[in-house]
Amino acid sequence: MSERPLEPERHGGGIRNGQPAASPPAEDFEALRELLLGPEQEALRKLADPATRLQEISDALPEALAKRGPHDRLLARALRPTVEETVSQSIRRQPQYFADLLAPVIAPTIRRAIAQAFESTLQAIREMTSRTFSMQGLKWRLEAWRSGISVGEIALRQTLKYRAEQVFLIHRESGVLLQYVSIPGAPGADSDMVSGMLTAIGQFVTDSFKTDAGESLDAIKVGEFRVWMERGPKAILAATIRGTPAADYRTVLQDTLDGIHALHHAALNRFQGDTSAFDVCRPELEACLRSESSVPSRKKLNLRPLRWGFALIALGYLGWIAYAVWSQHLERGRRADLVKALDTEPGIMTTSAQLDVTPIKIRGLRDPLARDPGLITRAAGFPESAIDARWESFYSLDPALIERRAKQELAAPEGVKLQFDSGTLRVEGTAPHAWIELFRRNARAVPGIAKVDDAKLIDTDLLRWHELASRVEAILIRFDGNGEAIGPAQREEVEKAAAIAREAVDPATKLGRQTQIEATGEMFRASVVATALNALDAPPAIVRAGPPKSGATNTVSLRLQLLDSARER
Amino acid sequence: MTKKKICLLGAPGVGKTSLVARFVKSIFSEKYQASVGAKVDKKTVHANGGQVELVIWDMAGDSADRISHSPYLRGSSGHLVVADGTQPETLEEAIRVAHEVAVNHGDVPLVFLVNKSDLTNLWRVTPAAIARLAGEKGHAFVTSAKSGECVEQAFVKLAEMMAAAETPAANA
Ligand SMILES: Nc1nc2c(ncn2[C@@H]2O[C@H](COP(=O)(O)OP(=O)(O)OP(=O)(O)O)[C@@H](O)[C@H]2O)c(=O)[nH]1
Ligand SMILES: [Mg+2]
Repeated sequence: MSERPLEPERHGGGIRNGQPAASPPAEDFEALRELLLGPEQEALRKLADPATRLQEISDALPEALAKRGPHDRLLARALRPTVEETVSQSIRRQPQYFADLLAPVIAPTIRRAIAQAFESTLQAIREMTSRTFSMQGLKWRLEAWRSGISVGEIALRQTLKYRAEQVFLIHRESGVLLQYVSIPGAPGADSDMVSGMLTAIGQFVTDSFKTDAGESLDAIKVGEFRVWMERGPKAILAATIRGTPAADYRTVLQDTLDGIHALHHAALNRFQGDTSAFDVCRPELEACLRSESSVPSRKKLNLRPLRWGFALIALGYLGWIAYAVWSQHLERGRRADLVKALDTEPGIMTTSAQLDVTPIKIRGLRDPLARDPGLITRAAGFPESAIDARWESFYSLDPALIERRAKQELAAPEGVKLQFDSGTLRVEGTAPHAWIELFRRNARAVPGIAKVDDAKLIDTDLLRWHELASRVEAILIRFDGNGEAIGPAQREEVEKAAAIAREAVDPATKLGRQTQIEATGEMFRASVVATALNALDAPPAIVRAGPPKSGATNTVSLRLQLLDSARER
Repeated sequence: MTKKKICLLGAPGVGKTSLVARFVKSIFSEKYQASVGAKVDKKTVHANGGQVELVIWDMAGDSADRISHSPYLRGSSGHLVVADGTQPETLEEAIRVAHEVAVNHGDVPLVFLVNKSDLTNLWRVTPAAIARLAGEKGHAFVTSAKSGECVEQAFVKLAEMMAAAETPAANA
């Protein structure tokens, strides 16, 4: 610019020299060119000079960049690779320098994140332990028992169950709701008012407790509901949550809020009430409407009624099982008692019993003389159809049965008592000789009888014979003085004796013997009596010389004798 | 939708809560329940040919000094400062509130309301005193939460002032 005013003069000077025609054409041309293009050539020379150019660009660069303005993405895009490369090289070369530089910025955030993580974990543990001894805990135990999963795992699953139902993006300073998303059917207080009140409460808490700048209200709990709040420099992200959120849900909120701050930094900074700028945040906010359910990846299925249904069915089933087990226990007892009763019954012995089937299967041995097993089962309350019993016959060595069998097989007549005790059959009473013979022959053949004791058994035939014999012995035939013949008096006695002796033939026969009359006394007189007896229908009479029983010589005594059949033969 | 936070400020018992109830729900109650903290409500109004959603913070009545230091004032785009026409001293207090709030939170649009105009027998402020209020910030309304007089107008006026006060950058 400063050179321009000089140009006309030089121009004019050149013309005034007045030599244009005299000069050679080449020189003239050169002069003309110098004259016309001199300044431009000077400028071109300057442009070609690197030092000058550098100086000029460096003067213009800041202004040029400023002119492109902060909104120019083209410039940013052009510079980005270079800047990124430069920064990454610098960091690689001097990591400590950058670390020192960033520490004050990052450290509080990291500290806060760590504290948050700890708090979340602690909270989960607290909730878990607090529920361990409650009704809830009991429910978990039942659930654990039902599903075969450890109580701890159940508790953890239950504790982690939650659903974020509403998410508020709030302008931090004014509490104005920037954006709101919710699941369908979320509780209905006006979201703008909730947003304002949450802010007011947060401000109230911070103000009232004069906490350090970093601390603030970040959770509210109302019954089943929680409100979790994350604070950024410009915005608050709040979520209403039903249940107990998983620890990492806090991180989800933090990350979302950080992302919103990064992306919408400018819009947040100049916010004056126009919320439409934040409509684009909806997808991020909707991503925060999370839920975690104890049943993985099963879609919105409400399991509560189902679970209760299961529990009810399980309870019913349990009750039924308990009842079945109990009544089965009772029934088993009853059946076992029946088998015991059968076994204690003399002459009955079970060899196998299947009690858990119906009808009950019983196999065993039964003495034909034992009581009818049907009587026993019926007495125990089992109908015929409830029992399938088969009995094999056997001789029971039960004393009662041995006794019963002895009585039956030996056909004891009236007046005879049979008693079995420890191997010995005792018999007492009176019986005809024939039966006694039979008894002696057969008693030992009865199974179970080792010895027979008949000391107290009385032979009625023998008894009768002895009775008659003693009556005969009572008769004395007396001769008067020296008389030796049978007179009427002697005849009467002889006939009396013969009659009695005749009676004795029957018992003797029954005893298998013969009987004879022995007349004892002085030889002649005894012969006279024997002859007289033999003349009568009486057992044979023999004579025995010797003093008669009375001692008087003129008498003859009589004696009934029992002869061995063998000897007689 | 544009949303604006506004605050109702003023001495206790002047009728802030009643004014909000009248404006938002068209109801009025003679019963006095002193407010605690802040209570948030909202209503949409037409202003400058557009819709503005007013997020209304009804604050507890307090002294000018305490109000101006309240955290609840943060981010407010406009203020309704309420006085009671039956208590002249509340007008003085209203002016102090306007000043101190401006000092602590910046100069945002502000409208004065002199309330309880229906209580004509007890009315104790002069038109001159009201004019003085108007002179402070440009607008003062004589209102009644009971009859509803000028309540809507006061809120709409504030909405219009706030719309006008928006910096051009916000429309970018
Ligand atoms: N007659 C009449 N009474 C009113 C009017 N406005 C408020 N009141 C009454 O004044 C009393 C106080 O009203 P509030 O609205 O609670 O006053 P406030 O300013 O909110 O009070 P704080 O919350 O304590 O600061 C109540 O009994 C109201 O019924 C009005 O316009 N006319
Ligand atoms: Mg109130």
